Amino acid sequence: MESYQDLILDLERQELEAQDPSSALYIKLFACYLVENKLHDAKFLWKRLPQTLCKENEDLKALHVILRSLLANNILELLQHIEREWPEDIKPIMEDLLRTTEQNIIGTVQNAYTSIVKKNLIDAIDAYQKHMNGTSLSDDNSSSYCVSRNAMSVVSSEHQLSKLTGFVSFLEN
Amino acid sequence: MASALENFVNSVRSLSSSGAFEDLATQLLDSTEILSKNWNILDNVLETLDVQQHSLGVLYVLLAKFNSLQSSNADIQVLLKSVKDFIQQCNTYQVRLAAHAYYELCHQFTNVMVGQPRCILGLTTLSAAIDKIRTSDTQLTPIHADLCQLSLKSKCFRVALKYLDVDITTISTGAETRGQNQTVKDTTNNDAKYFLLYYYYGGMIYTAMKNYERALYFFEVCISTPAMAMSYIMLEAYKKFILVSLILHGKIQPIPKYASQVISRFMKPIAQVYHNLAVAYATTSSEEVRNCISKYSETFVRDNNMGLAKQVATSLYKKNIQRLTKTFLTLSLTDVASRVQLPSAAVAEKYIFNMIKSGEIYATINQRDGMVVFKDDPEKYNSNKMFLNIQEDMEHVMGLVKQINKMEEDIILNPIYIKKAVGNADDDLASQNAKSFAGDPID
Repeated sequence: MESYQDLILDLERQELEAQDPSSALYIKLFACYLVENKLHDAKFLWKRLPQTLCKENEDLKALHVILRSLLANNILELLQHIEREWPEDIKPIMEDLLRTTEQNIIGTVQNAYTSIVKKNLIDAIDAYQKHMNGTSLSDDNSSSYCVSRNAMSVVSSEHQLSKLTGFVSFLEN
Repeated sequence: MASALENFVNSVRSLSSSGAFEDLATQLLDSTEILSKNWNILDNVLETLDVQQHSLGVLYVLLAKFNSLQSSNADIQVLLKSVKDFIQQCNTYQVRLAAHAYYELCHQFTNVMVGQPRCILGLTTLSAAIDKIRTSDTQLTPIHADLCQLSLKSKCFRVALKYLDVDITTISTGAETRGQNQTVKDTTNNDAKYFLLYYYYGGMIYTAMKNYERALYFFEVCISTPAMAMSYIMLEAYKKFILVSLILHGKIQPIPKYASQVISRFMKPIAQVYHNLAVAYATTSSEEVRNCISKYSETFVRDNNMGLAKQVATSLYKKNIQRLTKTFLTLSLTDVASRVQLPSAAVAEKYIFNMIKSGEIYATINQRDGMVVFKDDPEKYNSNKMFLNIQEDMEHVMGLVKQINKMEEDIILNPIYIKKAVGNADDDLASQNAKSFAGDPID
């Protein structure tokens, strides 16, 4: 998944400079905040949107529902609302959001539950059944689910050594 | 053009072309009144001056235009645009010689801007104004407070956070360039006001972004600023300090010892309602806290602190769940719900799930048995991620040590400090000599 940091910076700059920013700009910025998990930024973007856009723009309203469900950790609501026809320029962003959400769900469920009622998960999974092919969820034919662990990030030993050298020289001086 | 204004334009032009900017800055200190009186022809004056070459002159003219805004009925949009252009194009050296006027212009700009529907447009201007005048990235200017105020008003915090995240090492005030023509009271009060406002608004921004630790630090700086009398800014900061303390630590954090005695003595009785809330919080009863909030709801609403007070109530559920983890290893969800006074096991599960996700507790839920198992922190401090965290913290501390050493060096080399230190040593020496002479048996 590509990083949206640069895109966010660019869109924020446009918002700060434009006399009357277009709804497309707001929609794109909103989606980028969501995919980068900058939920508080998204919340305040919603609060500063012009009232007419909040009331009339269906895409922004749908994004707000997704924000609300992300803030409340309501997975089911999120998956139900993410399935819709998004504007062309944010389609890939929303697909990325779905992917990261899926990873988050797996990670969180794995951390939080030793056993979970199958129906609760299935309710959620049904909402995006077609996306479930090829994911790491495995069914052990009982009422519980297990998930595989993610690989850890690697830091090179040269990097560690150079940092350590820096600390030692600091302590000696 | 009136002759006084002709003199103004002539001296700006001649002193600027000869490069005598210091003289010009001193001379312009007395020009505010003349310019404000002739507000109707200030546009003509502006036409004769170049922003880059005559930055000092343009600065005072723009300031006068703001001062006479009510009587002149000028086009606000045009004025705001000219401030924006001025900040982009002005000569840094020149405006630093009249920093107080520059700060005043930014304050006036902000005052007008907060009333505009698209006030977010002022953020880049203020950000550019700060970048232009400050001498280092860690210098605090009075414009910082304006930027924070405008950020809060426009609900856009990205620009302000860039400045708030930097720790301050020096403070720039308008006092150095303001001269003697204004009363001392006027000058000191304003500098203190913008210092306090920066930390108050900064704390509010961090609270909005749910960065409570940093918010608490900002409110703490605000209430522990040396003072002979209490300011309303400090009082409001104190109220928010209590609420954020409760959310973050579950009790009121002690105010630093170096805080002024006067402040702590007066603030507590005025903010009694907030102390009552802290007392209710200490009972760990959610019902008590809810009752307290509804009892004093009028005060919380009037202080614009109702949202924070509600967050205090929510945080008590979390604190109580955290408390359970210290006593129990396993507990049923129904028990959790009854012990922390939540309506049902499902709500308790939701709270626990959210807390596990945000890393506030370590536990696993078993839906089959309806049980929750509390665990210890699984961190073994052997992961690469932890290594990177420690490395980052150590770099931060190393930077801090370097900064302290540098500041100490600056103080040791400061002539005033040396004079005082040597003077004291001389005094001690003299008094010792005097004693020995006084006790001389020969006399």
